[in-house]
Amino acid sequence: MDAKSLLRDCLDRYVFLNPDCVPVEGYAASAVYDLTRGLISTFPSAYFPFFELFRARRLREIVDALAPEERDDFVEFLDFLMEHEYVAVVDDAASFPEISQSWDAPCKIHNAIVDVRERHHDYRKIIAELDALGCQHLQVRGYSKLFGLTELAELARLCRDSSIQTLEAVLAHDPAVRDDDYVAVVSANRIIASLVVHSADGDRQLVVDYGARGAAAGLVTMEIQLTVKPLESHLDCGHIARRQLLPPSTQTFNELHHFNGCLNRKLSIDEGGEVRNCPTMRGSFGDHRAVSLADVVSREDFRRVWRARNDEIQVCRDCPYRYACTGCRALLEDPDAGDSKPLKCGYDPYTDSWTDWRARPNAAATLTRYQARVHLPILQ
Amino acid sequence: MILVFSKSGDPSTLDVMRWIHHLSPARVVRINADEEYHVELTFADDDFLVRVNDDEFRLAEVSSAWLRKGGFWFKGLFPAITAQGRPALTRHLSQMLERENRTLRDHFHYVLRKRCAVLGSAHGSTPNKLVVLEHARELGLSIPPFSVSNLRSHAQSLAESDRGHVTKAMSDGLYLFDTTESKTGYFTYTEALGPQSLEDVGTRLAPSFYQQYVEKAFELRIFFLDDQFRAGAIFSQNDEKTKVDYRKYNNERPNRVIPFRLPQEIEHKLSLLARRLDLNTGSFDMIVDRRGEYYLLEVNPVGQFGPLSEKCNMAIERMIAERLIANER
Repeated sequence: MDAKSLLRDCLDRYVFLNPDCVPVEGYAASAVYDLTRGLISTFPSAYFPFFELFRARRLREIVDALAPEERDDFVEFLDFLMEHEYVAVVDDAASFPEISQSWDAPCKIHNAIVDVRERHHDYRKIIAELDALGCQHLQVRGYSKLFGLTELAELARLCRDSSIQTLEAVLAHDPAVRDDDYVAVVSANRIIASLVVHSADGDRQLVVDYGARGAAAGLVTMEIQLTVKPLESHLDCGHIARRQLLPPSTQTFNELHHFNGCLNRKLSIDEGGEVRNCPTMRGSFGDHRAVSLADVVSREDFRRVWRARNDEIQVCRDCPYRYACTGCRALLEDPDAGDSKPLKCGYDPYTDSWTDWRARPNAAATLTRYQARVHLPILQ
Repeated sequence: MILVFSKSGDPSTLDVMRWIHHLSPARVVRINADEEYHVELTFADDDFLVRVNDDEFRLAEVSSAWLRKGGFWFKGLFPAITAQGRPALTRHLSQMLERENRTLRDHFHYVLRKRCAVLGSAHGSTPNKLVVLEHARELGLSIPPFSVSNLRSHAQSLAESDRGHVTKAMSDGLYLFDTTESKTGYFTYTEALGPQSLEDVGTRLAPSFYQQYVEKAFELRIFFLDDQFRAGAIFSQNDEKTKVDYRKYNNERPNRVIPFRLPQEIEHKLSLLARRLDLNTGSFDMIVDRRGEYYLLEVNPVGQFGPLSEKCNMAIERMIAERLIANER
């Protein structure tokens, strides 16, 4: 059905927005988050008030109130909503309640990052304590060859029978390691959900199929990415472009209404062994060998940044993507303002345009300021 | 202590156990029906002493048990016996041992139910689909008319009638991931009955189940735990791929699953049906036609509630965890 036939046949019914399609108002552009299909589409914010009208009035009342010159735009908007299957036409929507907006997860820490450059950490202690906190996902980032494939296999072994479900690794390329070796370690450790090898001699993907064949192989295959790009430090993190947006789901969408999408229930061990909210955040909570992670996590000053919602951040609060964006609280456009938007975000909600954040005035100078206060000297 | 009987790799078991660990210090022992393990078992003085691998417990310590997946979990207790050169005796002995095993199992379940709060159906059994339909009809729930026949002529007349019909397994459909030989998956679905279904079929065929096709407005997947219901509506009708069976997913445009408020009358009848079937948890599948009539299709005591819980944010895993820790002292 299209908008024209809707306006012909269904004038005495209500346009019903499916509860898994949620409108989010932004400044210039607004969005519909499709929580089932994991997609976001945007439209000019001028149309946003229609959603309120759909709930309150039959189609006929809405159409009758339109000025003649608004009619074509309204038809176009209805077509947009129908084409994406965001709406249905109903006589009574009372049987379809909204999806609950509450959010919780069965863990004290949901995910953790461990950075390694010049020295190893006490991985056994870290994993045991993350397990006690219910941590589900672990990412390890190796800036140098010190943390290599052997160490990854050992870490995967430590994670076995713990709460950790997936292990992501970013390793520095080691010319002594053959491509087959990477495949062998990933094949032997199903817990390794992703492996990126940086500073490689060429860009390529290595396919791991775990021995599955036919249609089943498509379900289980994963790819190891080798890239020539280097990973120099934790300052390389925090980029926000279209492709970094989270495909919306009920869980992430709700979580971002209450919490910060990156830092909520996250814990990190930086390359110096310090416990932080994220390796790039200021404020250490002590050396991981000297403190208990559970004690750190129960501290109010550790949990405070979890609640840094995009709704309370300058500019972000006007952004239609604010419930799909993990944001960044470590690298800010204005390092002196606690509620400043992320430095590396390329979106401007006032003009609805994406640009390269590096092209903005002061961006380079701000990044230099951050580089100057890196917690440890960066040694190549 | 909480006892969980399941299968390895069941995602819902993992999620519920995470909630238990998050909400309570209760000890949890999980036994997977599909894994190899050693069992030591002694029954005496109205109690079981059980040791599975490294986990030892007495039944008296168990406050709740969750029979999530699997049949009998204490496997390999009776060794296989072969009487050399005597196949009839061998067959008889193995049948006898099977009866011994079943008697032990039934007694274990009896004592388990007497001693602690058991969630889930005994021995992981699926209620007889046809009997469920009879019960539903007796309780005043509508069901699409069904028939069973081994005659080609019966199928032929249904296929030629004005009303559409579907056919599916009377028990459970085929659902197999073969990880050893062909390394592929085998599934059967609910299929529409058409003239092509009867090609190469003789006058007699295996007894087959036929059900009148209901033009649905939407489907309902209804999870229940005791008297609590959580329903989701699945809009599968707009899509040719999922029209007859929504499990034939359309990956590009997955069907929407949205929360649904069940009419009290339907909820009440489903509650009575669950009680008749002696089920304290499970999932009902229903359809609603364009006139707003509700039809029961089947009940699944161990169905996957994960997608419903996740998409509609119903926290079903947490509900189950809270029910299991409620009896911890």
